[in-house]
Amino acid sequence: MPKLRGAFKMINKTASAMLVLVFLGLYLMSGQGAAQDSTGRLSVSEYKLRAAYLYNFSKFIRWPESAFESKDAALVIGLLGEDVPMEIGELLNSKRIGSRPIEVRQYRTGESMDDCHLLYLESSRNWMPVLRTLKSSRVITVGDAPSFADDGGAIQLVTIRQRLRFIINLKAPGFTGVELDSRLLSLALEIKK
Amino acid sequence: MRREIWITVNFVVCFLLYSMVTPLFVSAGDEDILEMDLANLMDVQITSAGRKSQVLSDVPAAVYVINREKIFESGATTIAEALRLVPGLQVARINANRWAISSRGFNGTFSNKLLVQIDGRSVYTPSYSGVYWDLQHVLLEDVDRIEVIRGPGATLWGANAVNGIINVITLPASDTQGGLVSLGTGTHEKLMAGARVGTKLNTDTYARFYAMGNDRDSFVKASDGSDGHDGWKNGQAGFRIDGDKGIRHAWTLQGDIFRVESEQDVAIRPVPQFPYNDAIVDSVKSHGGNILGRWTSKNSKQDIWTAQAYYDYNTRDEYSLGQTHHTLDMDFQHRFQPSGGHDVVWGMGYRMVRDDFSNTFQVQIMPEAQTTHLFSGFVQDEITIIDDLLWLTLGSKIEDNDYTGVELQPNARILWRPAKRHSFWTSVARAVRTPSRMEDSGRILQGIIPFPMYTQISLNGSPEYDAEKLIALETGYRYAATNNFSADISLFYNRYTDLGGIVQEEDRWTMYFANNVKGNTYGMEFAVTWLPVEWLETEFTYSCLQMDITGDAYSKKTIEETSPSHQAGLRLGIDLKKNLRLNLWVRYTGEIKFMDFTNTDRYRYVVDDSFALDANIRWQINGNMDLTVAGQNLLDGDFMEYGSDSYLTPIEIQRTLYAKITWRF
Repeated sequence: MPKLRGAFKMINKTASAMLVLVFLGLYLMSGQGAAQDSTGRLSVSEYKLRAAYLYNFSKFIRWPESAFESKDAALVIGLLGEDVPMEIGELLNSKRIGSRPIEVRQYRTGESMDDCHLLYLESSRNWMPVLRTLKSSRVITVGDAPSFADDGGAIQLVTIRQRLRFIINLKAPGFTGVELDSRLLSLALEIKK
Repeated sequence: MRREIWITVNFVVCFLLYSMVTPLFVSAGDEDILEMDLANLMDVQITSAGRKSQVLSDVPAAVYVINREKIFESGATTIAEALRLVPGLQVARINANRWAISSRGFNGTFSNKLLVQIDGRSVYTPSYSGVYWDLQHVLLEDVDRIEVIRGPGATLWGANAVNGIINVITLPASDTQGGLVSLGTGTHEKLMAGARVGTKLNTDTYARFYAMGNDRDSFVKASDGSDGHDGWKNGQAGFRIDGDKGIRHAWTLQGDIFRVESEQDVAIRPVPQFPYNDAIVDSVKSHGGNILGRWTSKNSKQDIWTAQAYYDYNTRDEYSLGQTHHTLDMDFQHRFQPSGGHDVVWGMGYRMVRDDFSNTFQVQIMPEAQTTHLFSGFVQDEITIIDDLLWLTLGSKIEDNDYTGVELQPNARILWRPAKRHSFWTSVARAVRTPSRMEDSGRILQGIIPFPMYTQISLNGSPEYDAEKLIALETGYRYAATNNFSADISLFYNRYTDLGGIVQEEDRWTMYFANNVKGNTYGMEFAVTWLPVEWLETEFTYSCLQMDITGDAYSKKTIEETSPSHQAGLRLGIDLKKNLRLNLWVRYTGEIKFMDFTNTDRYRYVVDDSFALDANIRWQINGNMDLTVAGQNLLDGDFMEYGSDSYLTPIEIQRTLYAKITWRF
């Protein structure tokens, strides 16, 4: 047993020395990275994350010139509901896609939504009838209801492993006439053909 | 072992150095999120808020969940220590490296009516149907929760789940992305080191790798305060990979390897030559590993199947016996809702255990190697009798084992929720514990009487040894007023038959394991959580237990008196500042007594009822780093928490202090 005791002691000494070093190192570094939350992970409100997705989708989808009134007409992102947080609109309004500015429009239920390019339908809203009225329109719908893509929506956002992913439904009417960047398809969780 | 610890230590050091030169993760503001490309966006984790006080209002069983916050607030450094939080569990530290843990009584060094699983892998040892707690480790930082079900859960979980089930569940790799280093030291915990790297292998696959090492000092002998020879060290490493295939399929592959080396002070060991019985300090060496794969397919919310397979290998060598177990286990489960009001789960399982023993003069198991097969199937239906008000659950497990053949373990449960915040449940269940290898075919030499005639005192297994049976009646009530107040009470009445006891042959020195014991136990468990103000969290737990056992005098006294009749705990969590939290935990444990082997009217050890206080303070230095300073058993410098019901010398647990720093990056 004395041998084992010796080993215990040796490890103990090294461990204490190491601890001192580590504490010192940590002390010098404390104060950094304070903006992160306590779990050490990046956290954003789910709305802002959705705004970022919409912005990215509009970059990876190329609408034909005929989908715009003029060369520098805005790319219109629609949101269903007038109480969508202002941040989404503000964040997106400041962005451009190439030469085109982004314009965010908030729609009320019952309004015509044909004049936007990308339309976000939150699952808590009455999105089903909207999707039905857009059956023959070129609007690319984005939604996060569990059956959104199966019910004819174009892009369904899915929360999986606490991260936002998306499913693309190529059968959706909005995809006719637009060009999709291959990167968009390669990142999709699932592609419905 | 020294080498393994060194490898772990070196790994931690390299890891630290590596992480120090790597820039800390830069946090992203609103603008940055919009600038992120799509691939990076998919890595942004949505943090779920308000998970702290989850209410289990719809489970018709006595469930208690230790979530990860509670583990850290308790100051526990092992799974065994964290289990002290659960009302109705008896947790006693026998010495530095051994614990006696049971649910609803029958506690002992070799207690055997509890099923323990880590991520779906059973960790009880078939040689005695109990758990070697010194071999069960997880990186506590990676634990999601520990679910404890008191009472029989045999229908879903199978044999050995007689008095309770403990499920240790680790986080999926997608929730442990990034690096983590934790390092600590203290008076008893000489070294606590852990490191983990979480990474994304591709768009749909996450992985983590971890390594941990501990070195713990010995306590002291209860007799004279000298070295208790119970120090121990463990080193462990492992991985977990979680992936998705589309939206419907998910899979997990995980594995661990470990090595544990501990000392034990043996009070009595029979030897073949003079002086026939001696005392030794023994070194116990264990190592093992496991690999587990799981596939889950979700056809719809109501139609899910899971297939799981694992292989587990472990070996443990001590003076009395060497034992090796290879386990191969395969399980299939399917949950579906055939029509409105029915929620059906059914499944099938197969387990093969190959054991291999190195017999000694003291302990022999014949044959030395053997393979056993276990087939099982179960079905359970949760029927909605009245929408949102009354549910009935009916189910049964059928199992075919090599020792006692076919065993049926049915249960019926009712859940009644008269109002949103109130739920009542009641259940009746049958459960069995199938014989262990020792009870079936072992021989343990207890001691030798050299004069006037050389006589061996032995305890022998018997092929006639039957399964222990339990019929359990339980009822409970839960009240969840708000997130700030909840209460949970459960009552049970258990009727056991064919419990394990000991019968003597006429010569008095040859004894056999037999099913000559029966009895009733009843009791109550209570837990209440209250957050009176934002900065204060309180939890009070209380449990009582009465046991009426009939059988041989030894078994009766051992069963009735080694589990405390009353236990209570009070925890306070106080947020002193936004980043500074003080946790206090007072526990009360009733008296336990250990009978003298040779005279059942005398006691060898009496462990008085006692109060224990643990306290810790946790300082969040910044978002990535926290420091914990903790003290355990602060009220008493040395106290015996458990006497001895085996060959082990009684040990006094000491007051301990440790400091630990955890750094995430």
